[in-house]
Amino acid sequence: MTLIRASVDIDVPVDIAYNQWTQFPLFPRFMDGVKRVDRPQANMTHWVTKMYGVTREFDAETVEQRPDERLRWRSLEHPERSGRWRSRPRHVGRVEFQPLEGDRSRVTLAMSFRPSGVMERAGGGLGIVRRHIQGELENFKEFIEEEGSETGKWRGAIKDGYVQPESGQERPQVPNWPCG
Amino acid sequence: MEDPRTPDGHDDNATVTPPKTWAVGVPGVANALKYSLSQTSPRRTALTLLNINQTKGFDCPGCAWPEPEPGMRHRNEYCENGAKHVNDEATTRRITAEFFRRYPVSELGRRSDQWLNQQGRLTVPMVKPPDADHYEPISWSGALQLIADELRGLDSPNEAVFYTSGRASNEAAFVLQLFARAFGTNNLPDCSNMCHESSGAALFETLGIGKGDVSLTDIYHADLIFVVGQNPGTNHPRMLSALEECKRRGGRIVAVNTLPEAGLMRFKHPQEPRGVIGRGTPLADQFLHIRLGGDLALFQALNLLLLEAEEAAPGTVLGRSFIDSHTSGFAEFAEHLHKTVSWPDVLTATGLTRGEIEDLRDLVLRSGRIVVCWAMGLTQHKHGVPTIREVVNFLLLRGNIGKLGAGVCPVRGHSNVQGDRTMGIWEQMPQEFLDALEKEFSFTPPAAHGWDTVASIKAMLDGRAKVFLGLAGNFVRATPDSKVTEQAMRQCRLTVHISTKLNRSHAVCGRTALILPTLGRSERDIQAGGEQFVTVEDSMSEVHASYGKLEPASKHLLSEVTILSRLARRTLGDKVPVSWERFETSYETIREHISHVVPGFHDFNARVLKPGGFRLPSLVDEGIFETATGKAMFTCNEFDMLQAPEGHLILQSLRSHDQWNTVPYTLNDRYRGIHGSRHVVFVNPADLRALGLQQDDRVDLVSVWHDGVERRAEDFQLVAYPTAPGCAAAYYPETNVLVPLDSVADISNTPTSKGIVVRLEERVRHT
Repeated sequence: MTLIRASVDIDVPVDIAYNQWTQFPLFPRFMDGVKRVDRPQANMTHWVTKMYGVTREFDAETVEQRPDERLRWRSLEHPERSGRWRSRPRHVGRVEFQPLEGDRSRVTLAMSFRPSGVMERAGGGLGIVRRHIQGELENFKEFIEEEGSETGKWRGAIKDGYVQPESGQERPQVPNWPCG
Repeated sequence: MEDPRTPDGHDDNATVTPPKTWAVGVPGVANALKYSLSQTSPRRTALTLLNINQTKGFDCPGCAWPEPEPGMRHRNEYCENGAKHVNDEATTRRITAEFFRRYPVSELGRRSDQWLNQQGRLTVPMVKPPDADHYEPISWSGALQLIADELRGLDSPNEAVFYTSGRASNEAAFVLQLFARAFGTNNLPDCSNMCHESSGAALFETLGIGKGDVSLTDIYHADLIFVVGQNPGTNHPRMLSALEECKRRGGRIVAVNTLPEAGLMRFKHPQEPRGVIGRGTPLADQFLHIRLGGDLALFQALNLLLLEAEEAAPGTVLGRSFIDSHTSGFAEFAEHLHKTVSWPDVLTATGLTRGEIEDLRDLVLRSGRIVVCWAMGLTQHKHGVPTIREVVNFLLLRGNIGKLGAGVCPVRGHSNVQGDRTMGIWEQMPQEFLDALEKEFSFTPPAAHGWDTVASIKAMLDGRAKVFLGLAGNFVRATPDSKVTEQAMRQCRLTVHISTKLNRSHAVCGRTALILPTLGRSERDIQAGGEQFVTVEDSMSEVHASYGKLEPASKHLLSEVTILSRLARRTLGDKVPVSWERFETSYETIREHISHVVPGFHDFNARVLKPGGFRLPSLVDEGIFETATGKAMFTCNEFDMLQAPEGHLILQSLRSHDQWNTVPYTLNDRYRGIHGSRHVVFVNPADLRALGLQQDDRVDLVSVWHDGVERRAEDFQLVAYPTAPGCAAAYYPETNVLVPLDSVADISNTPTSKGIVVRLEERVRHT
């Protein structure tokens, strides 16, 4: 497994940076390599990414989420239309949020993955990936600094893949009566 | 009661061949095409098949298994039965007024379900006046005025019953419940009363959700999937594709069933080369050949084994952190199991060996993420609700609720049965819903609970209910205790059916009866506001649009929404300030109202237009449990099992493969090796010997109930079959006559169609 780390300091308080990060469907607005993100349930996201002409699609389970502190995930396979379970780089990752002096914060992204593409396997390829991840963090920084405040937030906590009861999440609007 | 078999004549002797060990494959597709082409033209066949379950196509009116996300769907995203169902609806055969001149109602009452279904699409409104034996044409305005006058003439709104079957769209269901409540009643029985009511009751109590919490993604990522009391090969064939994906990723499947069904053994995907050429994918890693009603005992024993395994190696079996943070009642539950589970009782109730259950425990211990899917094999028993509560206990033990790849999955067999309930079709809707209706429409809905299906039948029997209106469905064939139900229907002053095809409910009718023909799901729906689409909700809570593509079967058809809106106007006048006429002009107006009344449907019109629609979130996935304790609840359930006296068997009713709900398409059940008859009863060879009977003897089935009434289903051919010992099986609706109206599940009031004590009376010995 290969580890990639990237980090960026942002001129917004840590809670604003964290809250913005929880708004996954907005990522394509400021991340070049991300085409679409859905969050069908609290502990899962679905990603469509395109980097260097290669489109990838995967599900990610949010394993841990602690407001204003960190988010950890692992990618899952996604069945293809052809019926093959594509062997793609499986990865785990975490993003950490640290408060800095003067109402600023540091966001650090670390990912471990098994490279599969030729580009990724070549030594230079890893450098390109790392620079890309760094670039995406810079895009995030630019976005949230320009906004000044988060566009939304989800304040629940997730531990071992479970949303923790009464951890600050809002109750979604759902019809709730027995179905026959 | 007239025997609905004669004089069609050809349901005579079944030819019996060895049952299949695999499901679907190319024959599945070929059969779908063969049936389709016998009903309609090649062009209409292609048009219907290629538009089923596609993003801009129509939702298959068959089962409620969800579609994969847009972009992941096969071009042929349908199963054999879905294809037959749709082409059944798309048939080019037509029923006109001439048909009804030729066939009196009494004659229709002697015809088989299959014959009635084969006559084609209903095309014009028809009325059977009092004391007449023929339906005659009536204008739409005449028909609707007749109903309005009858309703207004009742002494109380509660003398009317409004029944819904799962074909009804969200829009039609919302309008119907609005009309019924504006009229003044909560008498809203629906087909799910006979189906998954036990599931809703159990899940709502223990988890605070009324439905399942499993998505297709969960199925793909599960380590172990239970398929309990369900036959996906026949009733939800597209589910087999999802199970296959799980297996290909390395997951395992456990099948628990009274019969070894082909779909559980091996699946041949008809749209993949591996399914056409190869042997297919074996599905079940373990098959538990369980006795009817033995699932409660099985899960109690399994849960005890897991507790014992934890005691032997603390910290390795239970999800302790999850139990502590997310659940209540664990200590009492553990103590209850230790005190009450008796292995001799478990083995008698299940018919399994201890070794098999321990093997299952070992499979569970190797699996991090577990989904349990189930259907009528769990719900249609007196102890159906405790059984499902015990399934929840099982999932809670290792934290298989609220986690990806885990959860509860009640699988529904009718395309919008879940959506209808979401739209308010329930006789005991919560006060918040009624308050929301009041706020939106400025009238006060009745607060008192209404009648479900069983209660409605009783009310029709004793004269408290006088008018019956059915939105879709085949009430007299979906219901238990057929003789009694038919008597109840005949006693009604007026029965009305909004239908696409002819069925027995049109022949067994009230003094006055109306047939109101309507558009099918596959047909274009053009209103003053333009071409309309409807919406549905599948088993996994995904709400999406359905666009009809075919030209309607007749220019005289009205849509369900149109019929109900006009009826409401005529019946209610200005009684309530609702603009019914706007509903039929554009269904967007209905959706706009729904967005204000039903939580989770905000911006309904915009959100449902996105490809694939939207999913209603599950509260348990958000860590929210709206139960009595605010947590997921372990429950203590009393052991129960089914027992038959000496010389008797326990009977379950089930579908054949060429059948969809109450509609048989042919007389074959090829997966079970039956050809040419539906009057067969499957019995274990050892039971046959013990009863002194043999294959091909003909018997009557007589059910045993404490009211002393004889319930008899006549002239069934015995088929030796690997059903669990002591347990027999026969098709419904032919054996609905054996299910007493009072034989219902505790709490949910669901008829116990999977557990009837019967004796077999010999008619003809086979030589």
